[in-house]
Amino acid sequence: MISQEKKQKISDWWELRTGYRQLHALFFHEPILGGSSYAYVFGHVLLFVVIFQAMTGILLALFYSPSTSAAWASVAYIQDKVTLGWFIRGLHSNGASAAMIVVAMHMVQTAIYGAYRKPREVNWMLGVILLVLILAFAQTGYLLPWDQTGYWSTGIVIGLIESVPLFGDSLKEAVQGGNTYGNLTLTRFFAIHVLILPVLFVAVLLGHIALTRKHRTTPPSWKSPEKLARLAEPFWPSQVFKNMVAIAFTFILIVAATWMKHGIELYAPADPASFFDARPEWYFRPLFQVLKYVDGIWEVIVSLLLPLAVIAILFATPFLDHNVEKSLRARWKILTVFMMGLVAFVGLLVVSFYDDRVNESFQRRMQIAEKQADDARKFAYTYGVPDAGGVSVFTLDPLYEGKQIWRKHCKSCHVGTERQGPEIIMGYNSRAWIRDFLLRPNHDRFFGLTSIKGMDPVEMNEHSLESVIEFIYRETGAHDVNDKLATMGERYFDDENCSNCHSRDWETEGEEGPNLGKRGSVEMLIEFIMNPSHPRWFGEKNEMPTNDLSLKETKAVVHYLMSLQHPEDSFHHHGDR
Amino acid sequence: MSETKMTRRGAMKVISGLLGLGVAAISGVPFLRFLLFPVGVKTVDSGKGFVDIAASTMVSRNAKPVYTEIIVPRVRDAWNTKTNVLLGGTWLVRNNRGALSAFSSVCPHLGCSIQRNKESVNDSVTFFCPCHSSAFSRNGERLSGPSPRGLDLLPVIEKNGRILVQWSNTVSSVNENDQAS
Repeated sequence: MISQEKKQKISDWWELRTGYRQLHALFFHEPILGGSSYAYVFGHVLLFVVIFQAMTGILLALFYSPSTSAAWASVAYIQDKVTLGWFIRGLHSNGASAAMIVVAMHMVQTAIYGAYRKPREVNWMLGVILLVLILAFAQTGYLLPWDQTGYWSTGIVIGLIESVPLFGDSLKEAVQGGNTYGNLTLTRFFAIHVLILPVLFVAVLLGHIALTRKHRTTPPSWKSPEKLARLAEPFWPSQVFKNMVAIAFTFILIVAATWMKHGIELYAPADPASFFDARPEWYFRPLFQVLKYVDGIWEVIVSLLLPLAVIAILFATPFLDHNVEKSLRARWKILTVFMMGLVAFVGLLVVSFYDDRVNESFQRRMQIAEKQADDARKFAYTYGVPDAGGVSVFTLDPLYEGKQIWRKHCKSCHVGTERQGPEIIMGYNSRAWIRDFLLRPNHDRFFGLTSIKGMDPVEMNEHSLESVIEFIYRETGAHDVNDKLATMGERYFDDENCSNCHSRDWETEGEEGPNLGKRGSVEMLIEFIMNPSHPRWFGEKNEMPTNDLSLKETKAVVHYLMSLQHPEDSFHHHGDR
Repeated sequence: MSETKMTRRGAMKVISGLLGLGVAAISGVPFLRFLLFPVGVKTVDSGKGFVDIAASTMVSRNAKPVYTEIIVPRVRDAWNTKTNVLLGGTWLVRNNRGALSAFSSVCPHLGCSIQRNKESVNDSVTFFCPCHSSAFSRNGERLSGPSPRGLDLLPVIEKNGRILVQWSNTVSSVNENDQAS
């Protein structure tokens, strides 16, 4: 143990050189009128979250590369390759959400306690500036991964900026760095996010903290001065204790949310040619929702003036409410305005998410977007992203060539409402597809749109049907066949009416119906696509054109067709967990 | 009364400290693991195998050393996979018995680019390093200067009239014994 005397000596040595006792006294021993309270924790929690954001942000910056070709790839690398990268990225994103919530609570507490009133007006205004800076952090950070959601929703914000009267175009070009979205947009947003905003934030924050110390905590107006004085206690340790409890609680919430949801989503790379439903982060949802209800000039007014008006009202709050009376009742007007604002915010937020939830086509498009994201990340993980970056990751798809040829030569007749032939989509040649075909071969989904008609719907008991399906399924060369069932189906096929019309030896020419030997297998599909009028199948009844595809191209398309058989085989990504 | 108050204050101090430590520890461990991810990880991988760099006829017996660039078909650099990447260069020398050597152009000392000494003839200084003046013979042996060893040899083979070398981007850490094998 160090003796008391020695302690004093060390303390004196430091005091002489730094004068730390004054600072220590200012931060730890200032009495809090009315005593410590959980009502006072929000500012401290917010400070913690901000420091937490700075730390996770610095960690992410060690791996992030701000360019249109590298941004998505580097974030995918963080997400799926770097040890606990998904976790750090998730913490940073959820930390931002936490900051928004804590800011709101901090402001509500300040409003209820009337802590913006004389002589604390300047401190309140510094706080409003910090709020604006936090929103700017969120807005700039959202774009940085250069994924679909960041790209499209920032595009909307830039569109709003462009709608500013008179100098909208110049403003837009200043914000996005030139005539259009590109590398300079990212370098700008990155520099603003990691250099400019932090410097501004720290500067204003220091002022905010200094003024908080100068004016001290605002005690509740509903307690008498005598009572407040009697209950006064120093900041350390009781307020520090309450702060730490609140900080630990917030921290656990952020960590738990991040861990349980396995971080946050990373969508596919930004693709200007795609259809993506842009959605902002939840804290911008109310504004997003409002824009649904207005159009024309009102859209400009609402999108630009509403946020400005809210900020202006907040900024002017100390001067709108200068009543000498401190009590809650005396301040009901301003508090009502605050409350209405908060209710409107939450209401719009809920409605916005509800709208999406009940919008089935939106849900479907989101599923497609998530599948694309999974694919992109799988390819990036396995092969690395090509130099061109971004969407070029899709060229790594082993099915890429087949999909391209499919789109160019086959898709228009086999997908969508303008089809002319059987529908070929996910699930083609799966058991469910075969069953549906057997039960209604002349439906539009199958041969209904062609002149090939003549097969009657199959009628047999469920067990026989199941075995015949398995048999036809086996012909495709599928790897997960129940052989016993299929062999049984083979017998039914021969015994029942099927074989009256269909040979299945690959050789006999189809007269009544096509030869079903190896139907749906790689070999058969290649032969069929190369020569669809072959007498083995539909002969002269065939309407499908030959596409002059080379053998290599045909193989690529067939490779793609075979992948449709097992939609459930889609990606399980290899993220570190 | 005052004693219980002291204990209560003491407990608050201790718990505050513990909560702070807990937050620091729970975040510190993943932070550190994330930070140290690149340690021991092959973040850049230029693949293995021999790269075709020149025609055998380009390097004659006893002729001047020939410099050739090494371009590898594929390099994985963290998130990128780049194609046809220029990785470095090699000096090719054929002795009077026809044996071919490929020296890495990276100086074994501190990694500057080895150059040919244009004034030299035969076995005097054939190669030198422009940074710290290490000098090397035609056989790659160290003649003078701070280099700890002779020039690093790259594995080289000749096949169908072409010269193929195997590139390794950690060549400067390979010691002489390894090269001999």
